[in-house]
Amino acid sequence: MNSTSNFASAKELFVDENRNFADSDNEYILIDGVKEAYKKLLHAVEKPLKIILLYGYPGSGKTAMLHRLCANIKREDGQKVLHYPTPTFMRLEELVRIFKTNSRKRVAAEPTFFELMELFGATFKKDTFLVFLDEAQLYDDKEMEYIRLLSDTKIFKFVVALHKIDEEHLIAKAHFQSRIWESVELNPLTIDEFRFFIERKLLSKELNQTLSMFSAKNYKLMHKFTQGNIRESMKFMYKLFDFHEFLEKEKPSELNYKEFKTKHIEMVAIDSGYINV
Amino acid sequence: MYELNELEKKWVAYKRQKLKKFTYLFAAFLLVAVVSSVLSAFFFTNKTVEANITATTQQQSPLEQNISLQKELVLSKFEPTTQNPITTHKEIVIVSPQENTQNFQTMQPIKEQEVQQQTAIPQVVIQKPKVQPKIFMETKSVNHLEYLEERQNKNPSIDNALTLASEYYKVGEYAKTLKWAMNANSQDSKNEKSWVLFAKASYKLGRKQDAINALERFNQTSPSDNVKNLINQIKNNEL
Repeated sequence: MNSTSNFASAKELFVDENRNFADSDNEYILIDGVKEAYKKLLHAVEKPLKIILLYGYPGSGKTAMLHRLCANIKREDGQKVLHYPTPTFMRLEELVRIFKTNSRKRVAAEPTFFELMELFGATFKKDTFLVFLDEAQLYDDKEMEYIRLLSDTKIFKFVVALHKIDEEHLIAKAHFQSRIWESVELNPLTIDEFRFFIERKLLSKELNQTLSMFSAKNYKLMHKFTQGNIRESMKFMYKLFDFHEFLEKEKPSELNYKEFKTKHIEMVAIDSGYINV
Repeated sequence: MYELNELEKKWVAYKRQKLKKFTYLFAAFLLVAVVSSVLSAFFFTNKTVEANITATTQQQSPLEQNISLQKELVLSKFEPTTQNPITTHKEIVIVSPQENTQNFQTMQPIKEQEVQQQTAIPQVVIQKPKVQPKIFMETKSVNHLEYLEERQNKNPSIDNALTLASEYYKVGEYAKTLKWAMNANSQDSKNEKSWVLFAKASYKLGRKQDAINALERFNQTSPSDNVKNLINQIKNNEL
């Protein structure tokens, strides 16, 4: 593999992960902090809880974690897993669709929410629905109240992922105070976790030479720009390799293949808006 | 696609911005340092002036002492030697601190006849002072030992400790001499001066044997003529 393809291959590894969940090659890297949160979440899902809260700053990896959890969760007998990456769950037509998909009973035309709730209660006595709701901060108060009522039926169990900035707002709500029995937080990556994340990504494609070009100073600088945010880190790394691929073609004298120059990292940061000039 | 030239220009601007920020910070630091040093120098000068004023005030006492000494000398010289106080002529030098020394010349002795007429009145003879009173000016800071101790506490050094021990020895504070000599010795046990000061202070505090023991022990490991002489001096009580 020559150096040209190294930068291009490396770049592909940092395409936004949330768009590549179907890609089996795209490894979900369990960094220390993420691993701990993942285990906690997995354990919480197995408990008889009504609502589980997963929160963290935007880009901290909540969506990816929900995807992985959905894919890997050990389904209990009769348990159905529903995943909503966008806030589309709390629509009556969606509830009707869920009901019709899982039951042969007929549903009245244009049922009310409470009629549907009674219908779910009468039909699914043993079955349960494990519902993953991403971007839960986008549900309004009324929808949240319905989610609370559905969780009280014990037919629905919710894993709610939302931004940390909304955490106080949500937990402050009376209807959640008594129902959130477990909350899991995703923290930004430390500098060591950031380095590990990049190493694991590059080594997954045997890009050892590219990996060896990073110095401790480089990691420190990149971590400073991305603030340990996974989404930002992915974006920055993509831009960095993309820029080097470009340099390789247009101005190869600028590259030495021994190390990434601070100048180039800063130029990428300028181009990506991390530095305002 | 990247506009390399554009990006390069932005990067140069960023570096300049960073350098400017660093320069400002450095300049601010420098300014603070200069201002603080000027202020500290100002306060230090004030302190020295105050110290000098205090010292000068204290300098008046030697003058007074000289004058009173003169007075005592003269008085003792002319103590009555006969049993008849009436016929005795007393020469009294009246010197007051307020008087200028020139007054000594202008003042004339009272004639003997007049004195005889006033038998009960002692004759007043003005003598020229043999030694002109001198004013000794000393610029030494009054609190220099405190300052040295403060400096030693902040930045302990053997030199400071030895200076302190030596200074305290000079002013007769032997307990403090011991303290600082031991302090210096703890920093360098082979330092001769620390042993010597320890021994001298011990001797002065009446611990003659301690002084000899210490010096002999030091002399065993680091023989020194100076130490030997000191041992002899202490043994012979010549210190």
